[in-house]
Amino acid sequence: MLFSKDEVANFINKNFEAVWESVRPVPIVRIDFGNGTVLTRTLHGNIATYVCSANGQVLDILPGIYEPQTYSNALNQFRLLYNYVIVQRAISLKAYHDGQILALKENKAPPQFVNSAGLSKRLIEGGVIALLVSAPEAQKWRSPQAKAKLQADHPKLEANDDIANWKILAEDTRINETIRRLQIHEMLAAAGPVQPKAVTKKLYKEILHADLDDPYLGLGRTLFAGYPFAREDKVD
Amino acid sequence: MRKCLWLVIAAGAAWGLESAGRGQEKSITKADITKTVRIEKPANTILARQSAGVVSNGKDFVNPKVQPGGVHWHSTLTAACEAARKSGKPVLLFQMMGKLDDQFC
Repeated sequence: MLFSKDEVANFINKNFEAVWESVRPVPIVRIDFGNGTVLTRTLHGNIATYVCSANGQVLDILPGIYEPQTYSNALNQFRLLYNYVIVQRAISLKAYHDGQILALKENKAPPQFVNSAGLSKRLIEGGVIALLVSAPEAQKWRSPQAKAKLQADHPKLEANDDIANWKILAEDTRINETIRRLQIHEMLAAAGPVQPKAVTKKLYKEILHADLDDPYLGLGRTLFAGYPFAREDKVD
Repeated sequence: MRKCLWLVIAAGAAWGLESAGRGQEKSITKADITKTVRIEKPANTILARQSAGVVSNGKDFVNPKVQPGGVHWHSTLTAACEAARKSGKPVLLFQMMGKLDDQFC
């Protein structure tokens, strides 16, 4: 699990006040083979990570599941976003979202935050002075180690299943960072100052495609279309 | 029996194969790729994907409790916001289906 990774957990503990909440019970599939063997699994990916101000206002949201490195980078962007918009009040939150929308619609890498605090200030005081720059400009701010980490294609994987799962996760991450993030920026730019509960259902229904009000989470048609025993059920 | 078996396999296919379907359904809109499902995948494909074995003892399913990672979680959003006011840090809210301290979530 993502939060079991020390790097991710330590970063969150250092930079955020974290809380988790359940939006509904998770669907669980169990196949009982009748001989004592039961296989159990759940539906993945219907998660969302919000960054909020201290009064609960939503600043930004990460939709769905991410591979760890991209998730860590996004969390770093979130802490710098908080500093830039809330602490420094450098731009409005709407202006931030509008800038992201503009870039994503043009299929360009969106502007990114960098920490312009001097190294001593960072190390000694843990200081953060966020600056919003273009994506190419942001590259110049990265340390050689950070660049190498970002350039690593994928972690060392050996089992075919691990490689297949990593590819799936990488594809999920790509879709999250392009299509879904654009939808989120548009939603938040239009919504104005909102608390999480005001956007949760819309986020799950329209962006994560898991309607919380639907008992089958949008899968009813798939489950029951072509059901071969429909006639028998009607007679019964 | 046949109906039960069909429903279970269909549910498993619908809920368990979004990962098997990814990257194969080029005609599906990109936003839906993680929800791609196939009903007629062979059962062994359904079962091959990260399924955990839990011995059944005939009683109702109990989702085992686990440690929710290494993060220090506040109990409520209100508590996290209160802590954020004191620490000056932003709040990170993680939303999910199920419970983070359940094995199957």
